[in-house]
Amino acid sequence: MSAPIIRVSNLAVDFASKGIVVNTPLRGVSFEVESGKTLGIVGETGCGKTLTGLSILNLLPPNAIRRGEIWLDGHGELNSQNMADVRGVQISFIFQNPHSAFNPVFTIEKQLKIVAHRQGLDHHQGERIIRDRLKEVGLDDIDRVLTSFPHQLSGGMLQRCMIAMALLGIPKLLIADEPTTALDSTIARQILTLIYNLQKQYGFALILISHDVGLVSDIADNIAVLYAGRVVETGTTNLVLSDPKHPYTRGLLQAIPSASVVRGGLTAIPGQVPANTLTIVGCSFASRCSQVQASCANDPALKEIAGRNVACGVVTR
Amino acid sequence: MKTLVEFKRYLLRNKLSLVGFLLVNFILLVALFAPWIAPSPKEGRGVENIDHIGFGPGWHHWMGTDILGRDVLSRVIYGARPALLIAICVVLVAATVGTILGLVAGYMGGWIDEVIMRVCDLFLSFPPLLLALVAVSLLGPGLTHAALALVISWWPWYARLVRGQAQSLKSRAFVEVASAMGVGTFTIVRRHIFRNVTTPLIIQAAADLGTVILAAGSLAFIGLGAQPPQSDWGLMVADGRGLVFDQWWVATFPGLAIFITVLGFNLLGDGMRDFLDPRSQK
Repeated sequence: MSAPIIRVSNLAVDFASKGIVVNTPLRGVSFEVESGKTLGIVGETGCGKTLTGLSILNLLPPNAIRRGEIWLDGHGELNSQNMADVRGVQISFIFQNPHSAFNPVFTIEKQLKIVAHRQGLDHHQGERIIRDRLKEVGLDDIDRVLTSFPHQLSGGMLQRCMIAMALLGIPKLLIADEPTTALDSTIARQILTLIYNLQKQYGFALILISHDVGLVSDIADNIAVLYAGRVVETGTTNLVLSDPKHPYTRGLLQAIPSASVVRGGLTAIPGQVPANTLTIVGCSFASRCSQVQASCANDPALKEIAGRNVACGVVTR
Repeated sequence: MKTLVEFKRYLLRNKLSLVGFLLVNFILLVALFAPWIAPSPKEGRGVENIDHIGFGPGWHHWMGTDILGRDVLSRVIYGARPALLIAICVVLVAATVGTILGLVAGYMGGWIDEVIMRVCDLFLSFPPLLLALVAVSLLGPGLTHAALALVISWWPWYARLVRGQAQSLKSRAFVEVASAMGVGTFTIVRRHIFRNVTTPLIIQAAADLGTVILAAGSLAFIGLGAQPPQSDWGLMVADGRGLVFDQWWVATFPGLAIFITVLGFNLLGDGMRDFLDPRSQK
């Protein structure tokens, strides 16, 4: 077992308006990722997945208050001072929608060069590396891609360019926030395979953020299930998905649509995620949980159950 | 960016824009080659010729002569120079100042934005001509001071335009991507934001050129712009004002020159807008 590349502990984000905290979307998230390994972060909309990714790079809106510690191998604790050395060099980010991730008025070449320049590469080095990366992400007609404007390329091609851009400097950590959500399912599979292969080639750590448990389970070594801004269950992908312990994880897995259940309808978790404007007392899932008991009024901490960590006061084995 | 070839094709399809384009080019050429076209370059520069006072339009003086015997055609030709110079300088400087302040205000936001925009409001709450009048009366009349006065009243429009664009652009995903890649704030503003505001800037500048010529003419007319004996259209109209019933040509021809130039710039400006902005294309 190698040492972790990144260690996030008790990461919390509040949004304030005129000095008063109005929103607590992230309420203490901890995890670590080792080099060459993949952590999948899953959960439903609004549970804080994207915010977790963005707060690692401190890309939050100005009214956000970030708490907790983020420690990066070789850089120590990340703060606003050393963030400039880290962004795009040590930690790269792949965004959800490749169409809006590129500036519509520049060619792909221009945009890649801006990033290459930021990496400290000179003109010739930059051009060579850009071409190398584009070849590695599986683009054939590199000359045409380079001279194209974003609207002239398909979503799949743009996402490949995005990956090439993110990997220009071979980061230690790649954060992929729903990298395939805007793409159709066959392309999504190709892109995921591509990310997986590049990870094997370069050995960076990967945080894969997705609402699609099926997709994450294909390449993630570990998985963290987020609910209402907290990790409710985390462990190796095999263990968590084959034998989920937390009632929310179970519900999430039952809600995965598959061809066989289409006629019978889908299983949904009743109720809604509690609004993050509220102060949540006790277990955040209690209002939707089928196994709720009196002890759920106490805030459950993560504890080890059957080889993984679960934040539930009811489940014991 | 659309190419020149496309612009040519657009002009050939849109006759009014073509007229504007040709008028503007015609006036540019006239201004550029004034010493060679003007029948009497010396009189065009303002030297009097007392033997020829009060001649009407005829074979020797197509547009007649003025109260100092100068050939009006030569003066109208020479008058294109200050008119174009002031229009281009004022628009360039106002657009530069306005763009820089607008980018800073729009991208930084917060109190910086508040300060810059309130200063804009202050400048915009004066009628532009009145503001120019105050500035010129403080600095003294003259073409340079008139230009400066016009810049003072013009830059806030550009600052507002650019600030609005910058504000909406900074929340676009590609700006977030750039900052996630570690691209610095200055580079993001210079490359990503500025490049996206050039189209509305060009549209605004093209439309403003005509308006600035008109405003500079008005300043000269009330004696605050170009000073005699310089050949300036606004000044010439003012000179001919008293004689308009006896010697109509003295004021009419420079007035027509202003009219044609402003019309040309406006037609071209409208054409540029339709060409660059896909939403306004029919």
